[in-house]
This record gives sequence, structure tokens and C-alpha cells, in this order.
Amino acid sequence: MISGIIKAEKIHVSNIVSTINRKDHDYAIYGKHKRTLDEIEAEIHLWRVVTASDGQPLAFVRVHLVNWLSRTVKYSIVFSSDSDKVKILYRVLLDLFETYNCSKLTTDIIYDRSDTIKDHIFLGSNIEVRNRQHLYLNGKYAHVVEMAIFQNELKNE
Amino acid sequence: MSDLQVELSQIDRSDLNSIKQIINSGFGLLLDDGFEFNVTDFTKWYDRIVLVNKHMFAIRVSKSETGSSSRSWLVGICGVVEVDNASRHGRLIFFMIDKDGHKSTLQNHPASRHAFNTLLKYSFKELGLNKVWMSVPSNNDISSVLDSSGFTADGIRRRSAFINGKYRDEAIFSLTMKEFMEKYK
Repeated sequence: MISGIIKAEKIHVSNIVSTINRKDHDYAIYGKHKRTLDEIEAEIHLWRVVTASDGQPLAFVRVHLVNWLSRTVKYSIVFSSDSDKVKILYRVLLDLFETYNCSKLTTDIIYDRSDTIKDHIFLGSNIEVRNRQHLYLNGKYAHVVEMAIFQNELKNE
Repeated sequence: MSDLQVELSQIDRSDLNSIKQIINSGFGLLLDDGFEFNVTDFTKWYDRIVLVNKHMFAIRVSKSETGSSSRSWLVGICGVVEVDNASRHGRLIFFMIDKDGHKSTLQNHPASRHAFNTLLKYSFKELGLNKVWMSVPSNNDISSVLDSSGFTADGIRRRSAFINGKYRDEAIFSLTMKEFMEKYK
């Protein structure tokens, strides 16, 4: 159950890593460059936490880049469970549009995460760029899909 | 009889006046990929981008003429930015400066083709990148040149560039090392 609270609060990286113990999410946590936990701590204010009514974190959001000229925000989201992903994503997108007063949100998703891509498309996102061999993951190059959504394209969950 | 030679070299502070012309071309905003960029902080751009990023070059043309000493002048800048060392890819930037009477596009300047190929060789053979990519305004006819260089169109970012007061789409092109080696073997 989502309480609707989206907090931009300082949290310990060690908690994130222990909560989300999946190799798949390394990319979203560490970004393109494999950074140390200390380096992530330095920009921890960029993390936003979606919490459940019982206080358990449901997802973590990180804003990578804010382009004030084109009013575009690049983010990544990591879910701690598979339930209510669309609802959580909808709340996060709404919150990001409101917080940054931006017109467009973009995110990178690994090509074979078809379920995640479908969730984004369900909410109105479009695949804009298919970046070939864009991420070195688990010993091989993976394609990365760049998805984007404008504020007027956001569909209700 | 004159002979035109093209070389890539480090950007000097003395080149800044020439590079400032890019601002007037409307493509200056693309130099810095989203950071605020204007005339007042142009020196900061040099300090932050050129001094920190060692993969940024000036494109110089020199003309040796019989009976006189050769002279050289700056016709553009190019480089590799946003290098991802883990995934081994980088973004190419390439700007020609309209100084010597040529249209400021990649395809029209006589020096551009040679400089662009030199930049590709530098990216793959010296930096050891696996892929290079470029973002260009979608209305730019540079795409024909990139196609002939072996680049593949990966997609279009809608309204992602704010140039001359208007939102423009950006087309993304990429070239992998394998494709480069097949093209230029």
C-alpha cells in the first residue's frame, strides 16, 4: 500500500544496497560509471524515496541530470518489489514534473527489461533512442533503451 | 599552387575569439550539453571543458604557398566528451567555424572530412572506445555525411535541444568499433 509519501531525504547507501539485492539494479544504483559508495553519498540528496504506509521503502529514485534549458530531467528508478510498480512509477513521475517544473522526463532502461519498458509505455512514455552496446554489464555489452515522456503524455495509472 | 593541410591540435586561449563565433551560429549551446553557456562565462567553459577534457581539439588548416611561408588558421573544434570508461563509449562533438568563406557544416568544408576521420581514428585506436555517438539537430543535413561514414541512426530525442529560442529534436547516431574497422580497413 502506497502512502503517497515521496521523500527527498538523506538516506544511507548501505541501506539501499541491502534492501535491493539484485544484480539487475546495479546500473540504476551506481549509474554508468561504477562509483564507490562514498561517491554516491556525496550526491545522496539526489535520491528520493517512495515509502509505504508502514514506512518500508518501495522504490528509490535518483535524478541524474537537470537540463534547465530544454527543461528535461533524467532519472532512474529502482523498485524494491514487483508489486504496485505502475502506481509507484506514476506517483514518481507526477512528483518529478512538479518538483522540477520540467516538461520532459527521460530514463535509460536495459533493452531486455521488457516488463519495465511496458510499465513505462503504459503510463505514456515513448522509446526515443535505442543506444546500441551502451552499457558493459556482466561481461558483455548491453543495449540501452532511452525512454521519454512529456507532461501532457502522462496517463493516469 | 597551394596545398591545404589539416591537423588536430590542442585548443589555446588565443583560439577563444574564433571559437566565440560558434555562439552566434546558434550551436554554441550544444557545446556544453545542457549547462548554462553564454558569453559571460565563456572563459569558464574553457577552464572547465577544455582544460579538464583532454580530448578536445582545434581543427587547423595550413596552406603552404610557393615562395612564401605557410600560414595556419583555426576552422573548427572537435572532440570526445562524456567518455564512459566502463562501457567504453563517448560522444563526439564537431563544429566548423565559418571563417574562411565556407559554409559552417561538416559536409561543405574541405577540411572537415579529413578532420572527422582523424577524430574517429583517435577515438577508436588511441582511446580504445567501443562506440562513439553524436547528437545533431534533426534538421541538420549532416546526417548524410554520417551515413556515408558508417554511422547508424539510433533514434530521435524529441524537443531536447533549445536553440535560438526554439525546441528542436536531436537525432542520435552511433558507430561501433566493429563497424569502423569494417569501413576503414
